[in-house]
Amino acid sequence: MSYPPIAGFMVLSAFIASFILGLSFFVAKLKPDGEKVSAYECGFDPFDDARARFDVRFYLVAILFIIFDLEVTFCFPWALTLFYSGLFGFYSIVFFLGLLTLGFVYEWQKGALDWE
Amino acid sequence: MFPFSVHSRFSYFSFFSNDLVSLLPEIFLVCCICLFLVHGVVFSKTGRILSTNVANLSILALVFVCILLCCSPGGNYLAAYSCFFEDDFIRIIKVFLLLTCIFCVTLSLFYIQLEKSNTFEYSVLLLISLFGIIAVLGANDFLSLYLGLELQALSFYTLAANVRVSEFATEAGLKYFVIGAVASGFYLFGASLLYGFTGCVRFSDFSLLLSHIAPAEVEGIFLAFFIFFSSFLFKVGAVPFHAWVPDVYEGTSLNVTAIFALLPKLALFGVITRLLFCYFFSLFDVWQFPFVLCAVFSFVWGSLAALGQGRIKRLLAYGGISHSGYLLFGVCSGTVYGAQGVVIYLLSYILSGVTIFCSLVGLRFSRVRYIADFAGLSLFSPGVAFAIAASLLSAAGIPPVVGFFGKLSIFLSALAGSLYVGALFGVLCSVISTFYYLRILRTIFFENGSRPLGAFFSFFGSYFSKELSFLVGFCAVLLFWIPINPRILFFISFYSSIGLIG
Repeated sequence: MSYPPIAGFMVLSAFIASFILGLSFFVAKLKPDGEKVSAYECGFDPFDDARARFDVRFYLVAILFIIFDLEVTFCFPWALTLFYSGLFGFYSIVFFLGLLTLGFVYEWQKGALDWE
Repeated sequence: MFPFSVHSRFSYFSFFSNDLVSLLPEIFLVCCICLFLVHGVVFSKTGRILSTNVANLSILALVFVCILLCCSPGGNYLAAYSCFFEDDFIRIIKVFLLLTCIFCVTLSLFYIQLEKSNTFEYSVLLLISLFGIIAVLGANDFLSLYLGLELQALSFYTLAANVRVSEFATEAGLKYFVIGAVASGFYLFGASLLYGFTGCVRFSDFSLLLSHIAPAEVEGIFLAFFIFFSSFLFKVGAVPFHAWVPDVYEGTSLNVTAIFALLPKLALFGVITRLLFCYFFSLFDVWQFPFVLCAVFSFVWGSLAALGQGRIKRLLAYGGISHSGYLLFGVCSGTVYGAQGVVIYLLSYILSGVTIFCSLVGLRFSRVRYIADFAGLSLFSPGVAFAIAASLLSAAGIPPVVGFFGKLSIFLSALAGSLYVGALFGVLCSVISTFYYLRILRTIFFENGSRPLGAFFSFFGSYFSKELSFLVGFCAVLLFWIPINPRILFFISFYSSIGLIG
């Protein structure tokens, strides 16, 4: 396994990326104008501040999704090797799913699943 | 007749009945955690506040786990396909952990009632972190130690930000999270390098490998070992990695500070001692000098930085850094006296820590945040003043209190391990740290408070619940009683250190 070409590629890609960015940073003439730096809203004057409030419910839904998605991900290798692990493997996944079900009961009762 | 018989052609591993018996305390703890979580969340739907209920239940659960642990079959054994290991040393440290956790839940119970913090999840998170800590302590495998470490760390990040309305707590939680994540990254990097260079995943394999091959022949193992170990130094708060300790200890609420100060040090010094003495002892001449440097800088830094502190929690945090330094110094001696000294010092540290934190909880209404706020305490509450005096004298290491035996054992073991200069620095820093502990005592006993007597809003004095006052009294008296009859201390430490070596 030859590693030097990997190092060469890393250096080359870093150089190309920094060259492209650095070129626009150093060579471009900067003449900021009121119109140029304002927020873009399809050509209209900006109605409001572009920084809107972020509903934390979206973040909560994303976190819950990632937890249960990873639970399903863990079921995939289990499903492939269930024959070889037998009854012990079955009870292991039952325990794992049971623990995550407890977490599900907790978040349900806490109202994390109620949208509004 | 166990239902785990395997019928397939291949049986990679099974869960034997020995594993069930040996892991019974941990299994019981997990069942209790699940039960309390569901109980808390289902029964608080009706608007009931279950924080004290679940806290009392968790004390009960911890007492039962302790009983189960004491009834475990003795000897050394590997459990669960060599993922977990238990011997006398680990069992004794687990008993210390459980007792400390019971004390911490008792003090948080009262604190929860005072502060009207109505989340029952606090106790459940504490139990989950305790389970993670026990998993760290008994791990025989890189991955099982990492799982326990992460479980403990994640619960601690959440506990640090327990007071949701306080920016200090949020900041402390965030700082602890970022720094702890970096520490876990170091752990994984070091562990993967160690596995890559040696092919061993279990710790017991390391001792076998390194006793047959000279460590210098395994390329890269020194670097991997130091990266791996720096994660433990992070979590414990030793010197190159101590920056998070004062801010996190000060920002969190008092009950959580008590947990942070007491529980991780116990388990992590158990793990550090076990790893360094049992598994990586072949690398002794490589790790002794850098860890001695860490230890010396820890207690020098802890002693010097605490001199200028005016706030009590920050001062205790820097004191905690210097205690980590002394404990690491005892481990670095490489002798069995070092392991014995670590156990004695841990016991004295826990007793003094529990006493001081319980006293601070009892003084909650008096708004003691700065050292100057202690003035006149001996007139208003002589009992609390006595307890604080006992605790701080033990932390300083002054003779009629248990802390003296801890420091004595550590320094004698260092001399036995030929660490003369380090021991000299240790004694000097001990004297320096005595100054700021005695300054607090001077403020308590010899300064007149400027608080008006009888004014409506100036309640000064202590306010304890029955259990908390019993706990404070018990620990304070124990701090003075054990030196009168230290056989139990020496027996426990000797038994555990022999269990470590043998």
